[in-house]
Amino acid sequence: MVSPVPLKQAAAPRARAKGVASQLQITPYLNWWLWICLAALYLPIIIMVVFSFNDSKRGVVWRGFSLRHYEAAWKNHDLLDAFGNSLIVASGTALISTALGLCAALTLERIRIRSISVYRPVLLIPLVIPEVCLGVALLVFFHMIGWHRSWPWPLALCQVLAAHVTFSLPFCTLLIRARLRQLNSELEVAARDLGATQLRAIWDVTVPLLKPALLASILMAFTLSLDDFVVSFFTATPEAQLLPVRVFSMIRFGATPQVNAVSTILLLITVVSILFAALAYQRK
Amino acid sequence: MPYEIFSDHGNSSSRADDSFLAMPDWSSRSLRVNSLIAAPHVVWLSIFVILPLCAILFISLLLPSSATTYEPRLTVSNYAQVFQEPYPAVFLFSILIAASTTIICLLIAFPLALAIAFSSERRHFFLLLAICMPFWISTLIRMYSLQEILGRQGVINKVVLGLSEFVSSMIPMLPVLDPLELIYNRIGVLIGLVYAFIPFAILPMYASLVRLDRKLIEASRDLGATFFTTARKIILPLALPGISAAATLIFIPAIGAFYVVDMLGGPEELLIGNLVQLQFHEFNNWPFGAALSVSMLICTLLVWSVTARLRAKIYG
Repeated sequence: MVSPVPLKQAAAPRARAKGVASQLQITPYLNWWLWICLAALYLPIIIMVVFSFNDSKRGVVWRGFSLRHYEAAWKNHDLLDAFGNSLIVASGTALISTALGLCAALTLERIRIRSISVYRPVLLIPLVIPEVCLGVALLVFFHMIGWHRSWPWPLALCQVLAAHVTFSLPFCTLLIRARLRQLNSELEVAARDLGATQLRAIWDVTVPLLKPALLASILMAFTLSLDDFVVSFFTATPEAQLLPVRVFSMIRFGATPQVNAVSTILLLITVVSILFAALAYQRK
Repeated sequence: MPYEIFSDHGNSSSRADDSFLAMPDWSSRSLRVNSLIAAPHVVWLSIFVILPLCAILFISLLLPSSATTYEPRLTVSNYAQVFQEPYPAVFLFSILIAASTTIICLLIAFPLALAIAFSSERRHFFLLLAICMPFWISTLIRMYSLQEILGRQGVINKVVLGLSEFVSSMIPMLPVLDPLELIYNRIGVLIGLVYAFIPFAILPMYASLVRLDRKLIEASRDLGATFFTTARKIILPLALPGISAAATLIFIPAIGAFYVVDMLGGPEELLIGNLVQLQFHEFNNWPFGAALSVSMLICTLLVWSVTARLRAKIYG
């Protein structure tokens, strides 16, 4: 998936850029294409949001504004439980995978052991293999170690939490590492020179400088976990359903506009956290 | 490897080396400190990535059983079953669908990436954010809203039918169109997959286009090349790393996207991901599902190694 790294590469030297496109005499066509594609990308989302306020049981005929689907979703206990579970798992994932991602980024950038280069591909396995394979592998693994299906509620969330941390860890690592590369390692060296131990230099100098990246990583892992369907589908137990899985079964047994309402709320949370993440990452 | 796709690889690590050359080397060689930093995620990844992959490999070699899901007896019959009807056909179909998705995505995304890379610098960030934003919303939910748009009662059909009714009332010669079948068939699956994976195409291509040396384009224009010649001889070859990265990033998840097929495909469309999901959730044949999953993994790794080799060849 996407790390905001390419966003930063906008800083490449491009003083002549404006001249080039017009020189190619294709700027208007390219711009038209850009706006058409953006419209196509956003059309389904806009329609979904609009029809969540539609005062009709089903279908896409506009019958006036109403909040009844939000009310129905609010009274749907299964849905509400699933929403709560999703928020808990997403928060846990955000914190754990950012902490682990910080360690991983420091390992890749600041520690120089030869064997690290062997380890690098392992770090990226969850990015490279299809999500279905990861989900199935974790399902089988949890089953084999007997960590399955039988645990009561809060503990039942543990396995899906572990699964979510596993697939969001590479994203957090790449994000934090990108920022770590831009930092001056001289500052850390200066701290060491002044007598700090390496751990202390990292904790007191590097980590505060990484704060924006850490915040961005927390928000990104939060949304990744909140929106994930495939891995949750395989690893969530019946006692601990997550929202996307719940929504999937609702859609399968006949869609109701309640799905629109819940999706709109999910959308709002996602958009707000991504905007915050982008702002945090942009600010030095 | 994916990290090469998004970051300019290599140059900053050499910068770090320079600064260390100038100063006393403080980078830690203490085993205790290093392992304290490296241990948490090494342990995590070994437990939750390496072990599960071993587990699925192991279970794919066991005999299926309806009562206990698997029997502790080794066999390769699951892999033999992968090569029996109808599974090779499904593999072929998924590869075809994933390949068409990749090609359509690339065709749509190339001018788009060009438009962003050639726009004024201030707009880059916002355009990229605008492109990424829909992508952060659960694919599941986006597929659901596509259902509302593409269906027989959907928005597109409403508009098209309304237009055709209007036209035929004006010109009686023209018949009123039937509703377009855009969903629950191959077209629906393709639209869904393209919609789901298009950002994977835009971002890597943008990353390689934005680094393209603009003087080359100016030179080719000065020498009298048309736009299409410039695109074919200058822009396309230089964007090739981004294009191959994009192709890999789309092809691999597209093979496994079972929920897209579930929501937008008909009964005849099946991807490898659907096979795996069905074995685990409907037929409860875990060993065979695991064998399918391992085969899919092998396909994926093949695609990765081939494209990585291609990229290495292009870079020289």
